[in-house]
Amino acid sequence: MKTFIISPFEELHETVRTNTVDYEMIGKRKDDYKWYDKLTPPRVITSDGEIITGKYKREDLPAEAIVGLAVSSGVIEGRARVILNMEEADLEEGDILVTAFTDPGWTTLFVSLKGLVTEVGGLMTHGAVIAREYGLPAVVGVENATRLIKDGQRIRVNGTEGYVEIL
Amino acid sequence: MRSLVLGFQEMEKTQLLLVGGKGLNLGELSNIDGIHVPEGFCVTTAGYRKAIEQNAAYQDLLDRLTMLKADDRDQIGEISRKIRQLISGAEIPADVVTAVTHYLSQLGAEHAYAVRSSATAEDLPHASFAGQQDTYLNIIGRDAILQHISKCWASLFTDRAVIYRMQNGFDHRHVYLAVVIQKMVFPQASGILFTTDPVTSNRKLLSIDASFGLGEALVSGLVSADCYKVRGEEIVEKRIAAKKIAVYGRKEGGTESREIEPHQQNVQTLSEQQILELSRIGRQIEAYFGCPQDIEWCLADDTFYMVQSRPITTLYPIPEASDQENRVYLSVGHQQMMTDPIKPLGLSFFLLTTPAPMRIAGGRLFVDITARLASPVGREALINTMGNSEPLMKDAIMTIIEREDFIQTVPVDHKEARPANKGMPPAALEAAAEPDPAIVLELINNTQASIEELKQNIVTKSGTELFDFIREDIQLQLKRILFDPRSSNVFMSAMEASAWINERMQEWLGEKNASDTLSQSVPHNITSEMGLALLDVADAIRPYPEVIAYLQHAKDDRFLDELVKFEGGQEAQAAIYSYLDKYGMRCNGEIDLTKTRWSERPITLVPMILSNVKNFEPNASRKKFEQGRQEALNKEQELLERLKQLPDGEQKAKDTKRMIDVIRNFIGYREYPKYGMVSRYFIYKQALLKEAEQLVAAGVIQEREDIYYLTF
Repeated sequence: MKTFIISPFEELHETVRTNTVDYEMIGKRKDDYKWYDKLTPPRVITSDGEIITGKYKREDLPAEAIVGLAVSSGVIEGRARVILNMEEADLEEGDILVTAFTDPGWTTLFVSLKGLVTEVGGLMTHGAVIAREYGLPAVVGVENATRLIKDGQRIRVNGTEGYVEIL
Repeated sequence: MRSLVLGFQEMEKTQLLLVGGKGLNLGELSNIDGIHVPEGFCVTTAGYRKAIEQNAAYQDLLDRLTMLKADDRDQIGEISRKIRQLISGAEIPADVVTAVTHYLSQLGAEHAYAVRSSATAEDLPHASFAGQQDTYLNIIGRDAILQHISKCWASLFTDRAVIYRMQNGFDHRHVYLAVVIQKMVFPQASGILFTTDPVTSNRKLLSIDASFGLGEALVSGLVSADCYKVRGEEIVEKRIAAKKIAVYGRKEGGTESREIEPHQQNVQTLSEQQILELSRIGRQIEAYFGCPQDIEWCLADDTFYMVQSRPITTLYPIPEASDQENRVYLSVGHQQMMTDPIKPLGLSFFLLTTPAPMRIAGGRLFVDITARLASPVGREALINTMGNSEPLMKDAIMTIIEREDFIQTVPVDHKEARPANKGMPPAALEAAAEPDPAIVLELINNTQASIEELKQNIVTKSGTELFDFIREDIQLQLKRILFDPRSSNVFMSAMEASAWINERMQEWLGEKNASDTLSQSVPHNITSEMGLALLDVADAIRPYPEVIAYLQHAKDDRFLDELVKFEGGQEAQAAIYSYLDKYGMRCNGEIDLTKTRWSERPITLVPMILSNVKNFEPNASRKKFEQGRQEALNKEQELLERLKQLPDGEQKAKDTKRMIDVIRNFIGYREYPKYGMVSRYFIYKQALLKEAEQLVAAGVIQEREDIYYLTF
């Protein structure tokens, strides 16, 4: 179970220079990439491989609330669209996007949204900054959001207090 | 001729396709010194093929099955059932029978055996076949064993296994099954051993589940088990379960479950000594295979037997370090809002760009924060950066700090500077930090000019010269611009002003997250402008029904050329090109240089454009922006008026107004540095793909994208 080793050795440069490459290695790395794609990276990991998870230390939440970090104020209800691949997004105006992460490319979807829920993210990461600028209620850092919330469910996003409720 | 039957000791590492995953693992386990594996042998896939290959009826049914699709459930069910009947009813080839009889007589023909299927793809690191786990325990007598071999063969064609293969693109004709026949052990206890803690993935913590009788009850979740955790030579945790039932072999064959006497239920299954002995065995097996293992074991007559060992493939890999010291790593993807794996070429570029000490694991980057955790000042600074913005990371780091023994702190170095702002009055600090609003345009213009220069200069470079040129550009231009202190000062001051507003408005007015509304529709935000600009593209297309109709069916990137055939097509094409000109270097997962950019695949944008056409009125971008701006202005007015009513209200309002201006002047720039970086990445990429085309032409690689799997 070895991971990629990025050596200071300049593989592409060397390939261009010599017109030779270890093609088997390329095949192996393609397989590795597919395997990595199935793994969920931890926020914090130690040299023992131990995954240290953090918790939200909050008590003021409704009983069934799914906790996260409030990054853009406002409370909104709507249909949850659980979408992991941006290209498969088929949004109607007023949908709430539920996804793993939203880097800048996802912004093109934001204009159609009523709310945003992501598994990754903090107060100053990309999705949060744009959500505030568009006035879009958003809760980020919601662990397992794409599994806990089902596509099509009606949800309420509380971007002021930092939680999501399934209605 | 390939062997129809092989004993565990006769197998070789390369024979996966012959003996299957389970068979091969047992063969390997049997080779480890001091490890007891119940004796046995394997009817190989050659034996299975011999049984079916000459069977015309089987081949015919298989042809019919191959024609079906995964959702033809009724037909799949019917044909699969016929195949199963055919296989379990057919006579086993005489030479297979002879070989099985021979091995049985060597091991003891009167003994009881377990008969298990061993698929050639099951148990492999990255593929697992559903529905091929058939196990028959306590089978006695040659005829009964042969009959269960047929049953295992037939299990290749359970509906579930057939559908699974269809969904995953495996050909029914090329999936074969081996069958393991292994001497039964009648254990007093059995269970599962993970050489890694299954809860936290800690490789140094070994975990043992144990209960009475045969392990099948535990594997199938029928009974609860004790759980012991061992670190090194120390048992660090013991959880004793109430074990109400256990499964045992019957004299006449088969198994039965029996209730455990109440006073026995809470007895610890293994003694301390046995727990430690078993954990040493586990570590030995792990060392032999070279990776964490999931092991099935049993205990009979005070001897531990191993009946299965598989690699644990779900573990997240550990970032590689050059020493054995304890280290702590933070995910970079979580801070970059991009947690997909990055291909090697993409990793190279990110590593060349970042000044932080980063490691790679599982195709993702991690920052080594060990050194920072080792000093009290570093700890404090790290915790402060996490502040309220990354509570989950902060809490995880606190957990490590609280352990005290994991990272040794170095003694306080009094010369080490305290954070510079200590003791400085806040007002003075803010005044010092506040940049001139004109700087934003200056920074943007400088970046643009530098990108234009790069575009011009790179076209003349190729081969080694290109690589040197890119390296130099990263060092001298990309990094200089990205880490320009004037640049970070701009958005840091906006972030600090946001925090200031949130704190003060909460304190003075009881207003939560006030800066959220105040940050709406600010100028110079390249990313939010990108979202709004796509509304403008929709505006250019909306008046032309022919273009819309065409786009609804467009499948590939030829659509951009085809558009001109329709009324309004020229306008649509121009609008899309102009959008790509400004934003075409972006895409989902853009920090990975190898990801396909919108300019490389414009069709990606089409569904979003169409949804904008459908969901919005003309001029929506301006209306949306203006609406946000009004809301921000109204909020500002409201806050300032409420503040003026307070004691010392004029001063509070004045300070607040200043902070609001800082937010609105500077927060939009927060998105710009990454735009600059991604713009350069795309230029590098296009140049490298030209090199890749030459490699393809020379037959060095098969497709351009192969270079993504090489380091730079």
